[in-house]
Amino acid sequence: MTAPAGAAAASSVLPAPALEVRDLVVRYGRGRKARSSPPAVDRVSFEIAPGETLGLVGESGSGKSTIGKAVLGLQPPSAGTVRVHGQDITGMSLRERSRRVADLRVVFQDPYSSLNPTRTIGQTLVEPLRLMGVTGAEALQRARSGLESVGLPGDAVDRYPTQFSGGQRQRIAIARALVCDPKVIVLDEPVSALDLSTQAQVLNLLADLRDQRGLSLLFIAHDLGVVRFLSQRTVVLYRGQVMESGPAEAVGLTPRHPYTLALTAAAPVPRPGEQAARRNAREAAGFGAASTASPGATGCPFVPRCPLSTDVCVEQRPPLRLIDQSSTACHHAERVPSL
Amino acid sequence: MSALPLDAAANTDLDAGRPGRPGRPGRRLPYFLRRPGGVFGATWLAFVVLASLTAPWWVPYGVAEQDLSNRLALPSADHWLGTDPLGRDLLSRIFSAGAEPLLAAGITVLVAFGIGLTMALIAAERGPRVERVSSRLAEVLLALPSTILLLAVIGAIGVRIFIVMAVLGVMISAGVYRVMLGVAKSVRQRLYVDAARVNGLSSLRVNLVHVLPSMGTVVAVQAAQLYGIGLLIVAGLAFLGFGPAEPQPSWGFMIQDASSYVFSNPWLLVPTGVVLALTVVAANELADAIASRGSVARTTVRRRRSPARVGATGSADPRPADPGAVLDVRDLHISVDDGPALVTGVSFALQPGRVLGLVGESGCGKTMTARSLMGLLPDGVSVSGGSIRWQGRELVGVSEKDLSAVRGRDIAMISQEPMVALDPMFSVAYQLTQPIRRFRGVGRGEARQIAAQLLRQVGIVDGERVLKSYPHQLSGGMAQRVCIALALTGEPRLLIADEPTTALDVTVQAEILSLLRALVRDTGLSVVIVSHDLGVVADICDDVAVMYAGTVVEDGTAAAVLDEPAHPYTQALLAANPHVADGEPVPTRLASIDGTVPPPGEWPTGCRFASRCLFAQEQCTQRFPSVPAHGSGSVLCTRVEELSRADVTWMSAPTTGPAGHETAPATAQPAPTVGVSR
Repeated sequence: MTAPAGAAAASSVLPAPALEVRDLVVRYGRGRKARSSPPAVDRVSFEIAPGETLGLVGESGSGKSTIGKAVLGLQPPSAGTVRVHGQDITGMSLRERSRRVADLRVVFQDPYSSLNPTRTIGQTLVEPLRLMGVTGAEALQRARSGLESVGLPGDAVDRYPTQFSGGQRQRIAIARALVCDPKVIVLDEPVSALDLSTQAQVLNLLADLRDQRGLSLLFIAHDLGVVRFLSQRTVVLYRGQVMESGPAEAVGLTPRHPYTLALTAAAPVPRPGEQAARRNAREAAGFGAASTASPGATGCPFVPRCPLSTDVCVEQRPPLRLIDQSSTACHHAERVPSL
Repeated sequence: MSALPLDAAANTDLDAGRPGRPGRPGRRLPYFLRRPGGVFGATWLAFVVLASLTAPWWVPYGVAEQDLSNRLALPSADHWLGTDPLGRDLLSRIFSAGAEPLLAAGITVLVAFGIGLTMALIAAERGPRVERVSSRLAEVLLALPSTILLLAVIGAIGVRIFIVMAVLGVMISAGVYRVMLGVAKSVRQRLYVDAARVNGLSSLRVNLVHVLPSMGTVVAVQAAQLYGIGLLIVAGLAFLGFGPAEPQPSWGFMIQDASSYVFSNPWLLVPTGVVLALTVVAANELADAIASRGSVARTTVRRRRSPARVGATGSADPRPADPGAVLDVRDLHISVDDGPALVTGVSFALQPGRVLGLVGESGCGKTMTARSLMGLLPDGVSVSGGSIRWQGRELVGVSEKDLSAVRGRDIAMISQEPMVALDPMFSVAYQLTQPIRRFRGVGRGEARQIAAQLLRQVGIVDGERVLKSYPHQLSGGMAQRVCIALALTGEPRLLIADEPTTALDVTVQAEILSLLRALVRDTGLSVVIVSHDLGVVADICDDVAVMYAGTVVEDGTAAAVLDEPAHPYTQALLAANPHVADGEPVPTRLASIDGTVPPPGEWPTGCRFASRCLFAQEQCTQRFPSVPAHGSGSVLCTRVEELSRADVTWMSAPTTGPAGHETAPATAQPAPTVGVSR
């Protein structure tokens, strides 16, 4: 999603993206050892337009949650910038952020540990509002209407989190993000801990809220199917680097990167006949095991598992280049088989 | 300051975040006052503190008032607890002396926690750099010989007990810091702390509102324990002569005084000794009671496996016994002892070399069913009816000894969390060779060869390296392969896999499923796989049983059940899946199911899905549906024929569209959930 130079110049005319991440690098730890090991997030750039949803997909260790933390300010980035509505918030403290850009909120994965069990739902929801200077009575009123907008009764403000099921808690977490009327919400695996039917309820709710309120969502998930449902665009990450990014349909249906293909092909579909065909196609494509062998520092990180890799992949990190609608970081993008 | 109460408290504190806990503890009677130890501790401490602080107003005699005719007296109406060698009233002296040690020990606790807890909160917040400095400081404090230092302080400033005990508090703060740091760090990892930070709360408020309350239990336990220690130290110092000067009484000096009369007048030692001992014990009892939070329920359900009432419910299953099946489960009932049923009337048969999938949402009883096949139900849960026949042999009701002959050898199990299933203390080689030697009766060298061979069989190329490694050195997928190898050590005929790929990435999941498929093909193994993922079921299963609220609602071959689902619940599950077929457009809304699975004990008498079903009619809520055969299996729905004739499905049903439908009625009542899920 590296915007071409022309687009960057034109952005002074166009409205600024709701969220813009440019060349983000995050390294964990300090000192020489941290500098010599590959960073958790390596030069990642993307932007989200107002009202748009961007899906960030990858397996464990891909750095997707780290990007979410860096955007939220919970993990200081080593390099790069994060802008909300054009305002650079990279180095801002969390307090400063909340005072100056009350626009950025979060919903976490685990509905059990994301609500403080010792506080009532009302206390949890009112907390950020009071901080913004809303009076007590009005804050409570907004908390109630926030709960109603996620399909919970307003009188739930007097209850404690333990009295709610997982799906209901996730709704409360969404309500907590919504009460401040934010423009951008980071959703870190918001449905992966939920059962299928509850997951569908929450996904529908998120889609409705996005459309009603024009929210911009950074949707972090490991499940391409879930991401495809909610996102307009998808960014696929592997070992902290962007492998492919583009419209959700294009990334989902015609992957241009071998890793995207591997991810898509590995996700099973609930139709035995079709799944058997997909399985055979995947096994024929010859994707290697998720080996522990770490890739070279210079080349493409996917080399050890890639059936298409050649010498150039080991030596050079492929740049993102635009093919059809998606940009792909692969030297052999043209040779990637179709699903 | 042992680590035990901390561990217990920390664990139970984490449990407090789970559902199923009725309301907030402490709203009625604090939980620690529901235990005899806690009641005693709190009552005695309250009594001693009150009596000591109010002593000047109620004690019958002055502390120096002598009754020389009644020296060393036993208890009497005049002197309730007797008198000392100078004829002074013991009761008056004990409670007049109480205020000082009680306050001084309190000061120690306050200082120790004021410093230790604050430092721990700061270190947990500021990260490794600050932590390194503060931890070194704590180590220096811990290295100081505290007894000598206390005596040196007394030597320098005299017996000013409050200052001396404050100095002791400073020294103990290092230990408090150590304990609290670990707790504070684990609390800070909880997501609600991150959420509060994103909301822009000041660090003081984050600590006061979100971190400290969650540490409350541990703080209370440690403080109560430390208070007891403080009391003993004050008394000890007074015993050595570092207490208030005569005639001012002190517990330590009174004990010292009494010890010289221990042979001639042993009673003299009793009142002071008992009060001191009881106070220290009370502090510790209170600590124990606070630490016991949540463990009450656990101790009461621990019971021996009760033999099941075989066939007690009468077989309602019309299907004849399947002679070719390796595993034949008939009308299985599982329930909490003296509690609600968790699984009712589950029947299925498994042919050799086939894979059966138990699928459903959490809380539907699929894991309980799978565990019952191995006799591995949790404490307090048992099979209450029906039969499980393994190669014609009844497993329900047999002794633990007979069951263990089957378990591991004929029937093996792999679990959801491979990292938890492996013991982090032992190498892979050790964990594999132990069961190999036990099951196959071979020597050490041969066992190792078999282990290497098993690892090759589960697709591990560099088996020798993996054999030498420890679980933490393996990736999740590799660890699950090792777990499968471990399950294969007894050459089982049946493998029970409980969500074997849920914790893994999709690409790793695909590899593990391929491995399982190859094992079934090559060895003729039968597999029962529990999964909530319909894609996994479609990938590996030959047969499927869909479970809902403790029963099988639909079963049959995987192709029949998944391609042409007949039960509304199966249809709904498939419709809720966001993975669309290739070439189909992504839906703008997912079909979802109203509400949640009813918890055990709240199942209706009619169809258990009726309250959430789009097609429910009055007949559905009235009686439990029978099991009509349908296609290759059976469907637990009275309307199934009617619906399939009319060609109505969940996806085509008109009511799934409107936005309000999924959310509003489903969640109008936030019902308490029972902690059976996951």
